[in-house]
Amino acid sequence: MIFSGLDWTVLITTLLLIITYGIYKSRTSRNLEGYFLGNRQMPWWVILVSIMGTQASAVTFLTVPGQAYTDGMRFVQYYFGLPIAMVILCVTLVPIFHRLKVFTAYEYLEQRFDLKTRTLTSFLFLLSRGLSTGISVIAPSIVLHSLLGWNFYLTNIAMGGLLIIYTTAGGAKAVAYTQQLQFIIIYAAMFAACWYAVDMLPEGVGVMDALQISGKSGKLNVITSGVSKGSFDWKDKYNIFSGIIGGLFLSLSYFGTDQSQVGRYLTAKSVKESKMGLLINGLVKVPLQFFILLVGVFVFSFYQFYKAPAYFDLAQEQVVKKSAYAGEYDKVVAQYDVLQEAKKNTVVELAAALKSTDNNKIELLQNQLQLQQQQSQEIRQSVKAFVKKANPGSDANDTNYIFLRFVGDFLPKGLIGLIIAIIFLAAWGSIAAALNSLASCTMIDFHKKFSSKKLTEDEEYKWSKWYTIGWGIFCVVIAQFAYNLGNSLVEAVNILGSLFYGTILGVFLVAFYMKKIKGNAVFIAAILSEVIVLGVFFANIISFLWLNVIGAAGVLFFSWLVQWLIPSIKKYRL
Amino acid sequence: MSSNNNDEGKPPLFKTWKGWYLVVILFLVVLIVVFYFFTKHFS
Repeated sequence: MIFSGLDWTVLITTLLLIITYGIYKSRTSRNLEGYFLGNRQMPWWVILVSIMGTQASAVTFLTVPGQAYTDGMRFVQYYFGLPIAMVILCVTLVPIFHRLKVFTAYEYLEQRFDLKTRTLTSFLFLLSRGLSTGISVIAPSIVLHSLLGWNFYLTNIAMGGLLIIYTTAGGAKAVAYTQQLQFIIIYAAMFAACWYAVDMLPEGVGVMDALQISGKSGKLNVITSGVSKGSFDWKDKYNIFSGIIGGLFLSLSYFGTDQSQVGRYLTAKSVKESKMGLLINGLVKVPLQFFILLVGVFVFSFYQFYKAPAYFDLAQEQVVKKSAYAGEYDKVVAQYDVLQEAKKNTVVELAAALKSTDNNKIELLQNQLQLQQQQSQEIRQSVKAFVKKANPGSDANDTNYIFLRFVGDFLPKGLIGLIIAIIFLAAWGSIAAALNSLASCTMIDFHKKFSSKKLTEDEEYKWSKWYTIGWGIFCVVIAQFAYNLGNSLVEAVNILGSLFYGTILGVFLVAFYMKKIKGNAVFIAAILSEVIVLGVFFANIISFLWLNVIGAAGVLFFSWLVQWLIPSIKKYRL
Repeated sequence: MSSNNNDEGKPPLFKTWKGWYLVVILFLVVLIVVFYFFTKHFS
């Protein structure tokens, strides 16, 4: 990919704009309320953008269009549980958090149960969020390393370093205001990329034709049942049932018990502003995710008329071309190119046929296209097999590179720089919020709770800044060692969250709905559930989204059981 | 621990928060129905 002077100018200007804006907006009172909660002064629209910016990481904009290209639009179902979760949270936890004036979600658990339950859940949060944030840092570096040849380790350090500067300087307020600006730039750039993908389609092929072709190739599978061969496939990741049920539990856990999100809406000036931010998020999240997937669909349509690469990761391709498999690889790629040409002819004929009423011809061409599609996928699989053979430790999945390869090969100068900038901005938006939340939990749930020395407001403020820097460095260090995760890092982040979210959510559900359960019972139940979740995960018998359900249900069941058994145990001892 | 409208202020556009909750859920239902027909139409 060629990165021109104009691209560099756009990239550097955009990043400097964000950092300057973050530092400019960072003036706040030098105490914990100011640093972690922006003095609880934010209006609902800032909360909305902050929630969305925290959830959407760089991989959202890198991987999601690629996912639509390879697997179709069914990924949108993953978000179907989110609006329901927003409503439940507005009824339950949000008013409590505001009434108790907590800094972290886990403070509530001490008031409801005891200190050990609060400490356990806060620890689980720090563990999962700390590691997954470290993994998130590498997403942009790994892609930029492949496409532009940038040094992976230096990109990590540069990205992490710049981010730490404004996050540490301004705390929650800087995070919220920079996310606003980031949001506008990100969606404007995605819209421009989408416009170009449609605009570059051959003459006479419009938006509807592009959709028809994608639909006939199975890419517009927005709703899927998860039923295959007459029974429900529990390992199928994205279908309407796993989306609504699994997605509901995941969203409840993420928005209700993950401090990186709770910390965002606690900055609101009232319960009303928090609720409005969350509810509008419930309204816009699914359509926005649909739009990002649609960008991928248009990229797919575009590649039906122009030569698509057999493999999208340039760096890995270079490794194969320098290996002993280079000759065989070139032969397979040549086969792919021939098939692409044949497929292009079919698509052109199909686009013309779709404008007629000749259903027989449409059906014939559709079957032909599906066969060619299947053959293309088979060839792509053998190409990936060569990548795996040439570089055994690598992940041959190239989904992360599809969208950026399209950007680099076909979009005009300047826009490439802007798209690279949005990778940084999206990464910063979510990582900045994570760092702020990690620092707040460390300060509020551990330092203030377990330190015998009483700190002044100014000392607390300074310690909080040091914790933000500390977690920033921790994440960059994790990123330096996580290179081998390769392209599977998106899933790694999601799975890591699902390993702990269910249990944490279960503790909150017990706190809210099972009034007779006490601290000891829920503490034991949380540990038992976590063991079961880890056991199910390692047994690999179910898709990761269901782990959230198992964890939460496990805590509810074991809490009831242990609370019921405690009097019997006491009686037996007597 | 149920929500208290006095503490939380009157929601915009509706008399109570229930109006907003209903809008969010109904919008989701409409989206799913639209997506279903979208999938069927283009498949």
